Order: sequence, then structure tokens, then C-alpha cells
Amino acid sequence: MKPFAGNRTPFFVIPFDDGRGARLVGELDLSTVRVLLAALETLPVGVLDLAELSFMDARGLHALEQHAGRLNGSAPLVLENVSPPIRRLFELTGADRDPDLKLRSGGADG
Amino acid sequence: MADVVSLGARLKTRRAELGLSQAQAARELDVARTAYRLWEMQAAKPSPDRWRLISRWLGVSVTTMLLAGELISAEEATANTVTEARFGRAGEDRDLASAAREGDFFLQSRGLIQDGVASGSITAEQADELSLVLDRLEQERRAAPTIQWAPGELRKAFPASERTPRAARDAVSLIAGDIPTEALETVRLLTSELVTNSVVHGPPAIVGVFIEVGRDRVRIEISDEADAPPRPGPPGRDGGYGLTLVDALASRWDTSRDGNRNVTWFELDLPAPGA
Repeated sequence: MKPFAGNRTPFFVIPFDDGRGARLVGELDLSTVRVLLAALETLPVGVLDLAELSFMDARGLHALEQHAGRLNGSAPLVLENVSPPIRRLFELTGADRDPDLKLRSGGADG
Repeated sequence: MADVVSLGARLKTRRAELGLSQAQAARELDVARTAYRLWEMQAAKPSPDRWRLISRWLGVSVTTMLLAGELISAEEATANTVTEARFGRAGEDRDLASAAREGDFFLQSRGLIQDGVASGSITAEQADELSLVLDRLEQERRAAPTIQWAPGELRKAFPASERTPRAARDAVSLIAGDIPTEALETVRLLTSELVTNSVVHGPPAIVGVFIEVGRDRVRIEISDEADAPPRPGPPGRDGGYGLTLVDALASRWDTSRDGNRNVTWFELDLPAPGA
């Protein structure tokens, strides 16, 4: 049997114009965490906007925690526009109590 | 049984009889000309406080007016005409409209129609029309699905790769896309977790996915050829989170052995229709 030949899982990291952070767009899972971590290695931002993240599972969560850890605790990684299903993921795993992470339902001004 | 003439057609005919323009007819019925024009076009419905006036103007009973075509929902029309038969007024007793959504509405309504004929408050012809609407309503009710999503199942063996979790999630969306959104989100998440575990900890060549959408639950089975069944690990470990989530969100789950394959399954109960 050929390897599964489905389309590449859609996932993009798009930096803000002001370089303060980045938007995550698409689905964050086993197949796309590499893309996230590679992007964040060259772009060590402290703010991620999750408004357009349509799916995330524990793999994605783990990658965000890894990135937060890499920021060396200088400031928590701020996650903006966290949707209810993704917030639930953080709550059920206890990651919402991680001091390296700060979850916001709205944007920076919300 | 005579065809039910639509209200729009009745209004037009009556206006022609009286030799009135739309503007003049609108004045007689005390509504804006635009509203009247929309009534004739069957593009808008007169509000209940106009029903008496319109029926008098048309020279028909409120019963007949309400039954005119599908101007108002058959259910609402029936409730109001039954009220008229009973109390000699219409559009005032909204309790019957809610009774329409309850069990013995049809029985009750047919009794009231008989009473109405017996007491002379509606004619035999009106009673026939009303009965016709009731029959149609009851048929529609019977034909309506009693569940809000379509049951079905899907079984597929995916060659294991890092893209398999997404493929399995998409399969869930395909077969269970019409279950309530929150339940769908949960099933997609948990499926993704179990398939990820299979792909990462196998390494299995094949990940079997079985999805069953029933009337009251969704069941997912993920099978692989790993040596030992997965168990929740300490939080923070990659594989540990997955089963922690399954344990927290699924209505029930377990693992079993099927030949040389490990099967991890979970079920999520779906809310009862109308709940």
C-alpha cells in the first residue's frame, strides 16, 4: 500500500507586521508541529494569535509548551484569541496553569 | 375537496370586485401600500391583529382566510382556526399553538372541529378544510426524521504516516459532520489523539479506523499492531496527554486485543433530539 497521499495538512505561521508576534493559521497536529517549531526558532516571538487555528491536539499543545519553555521564562508566551475547544484542551491537560503560558480569549486589546 | 385559494389571490379578486387600486385597498385595511402589495404577492404575511379586518373585507371567515394557501404555517393556522371554532375568535389564544407542539394536539383539534360544527360556529365545509390541513400536518410530522443526524459507519485502513491523524479526523467529519458541533469537535480531537498514539508508538504499518454514528452515540475504534495496549502516561509526556483527554472527554473508552491487533475504542453520547 502506498503511503497516505492526502493533501498536506494546511498550516501557516504568519508574522505580524510589527514583528511582535505571529498568527497561526490551519491545523496544528503531528504533521505540522515541525513547521511551527522551525518557524518559531527563527522567529522567537512572545505572542501568538490563534484566531485562525481551526484545530489543535495534544501534539500542538506540547509544541506550544516547548516554545514557551525556550523563551527562558523572560515573559510568558501569550496566546490570543483562544477558541473554546482549544481552551478546553489547555484546561484538561492542566497546561492553563503553566506559568510560561498566558491564554487570552480575545486579542491584545480584548 | 375544493382547492384552497391563496390569500394573495383572494385579496386580488376582492380588490377587483370592489374596483380598488392597491393603495385604496391598503387604506381600507389600514396598512402601508407596500405591505399590502407584499400580501398580494404572497411575499409577506399579515400579522394576527389584521386577520379579523382582512377576513371581514374578504367576506370570508377567519378560518377560510387562515387556510388560504400556506400564508401562515399550517400548524399556526390550525391552532388559530381551532380557537375560532371554540371561542369564536382567532389569533388571540396562542396557547394552542404551543399545544400544537405537544402530543395530543391532533386528537384535541379533531374533537374541537366536531364541537365547532355541532355548535354551528364553523360550517361543515370549513370543518372539511380544517381536517384536510390536520391530515397533511400529521403526515408531515410522521415523515419528519426523529433524529437530527444521519446514522452511518465507515471503516478504513490507513497506511501509517504523520498525515494519518488528519486523514482520520477528516473521515470523522465526513461521516459525522451533522452531529452537534461540540460533539464533532470532541470526536475529531480524540480520534486525532488515538491515531497519533498509534502512529508514534507503533510503529504500525496500518492504522485501522472505524467510525460509527448511531442515534445516541458516536463510537470510534482505532486499531494498530503495537505490542502492548497504550496507557495514560504522566502529564507532559507527548503520548500521555492523548489518553488523558480521551479519559476526560469520552463517555466511555477501553482497549482490547483483536488477534495481533490492539484496539482502542471510545464512545461519546450525543444529546437527545430536541434537548
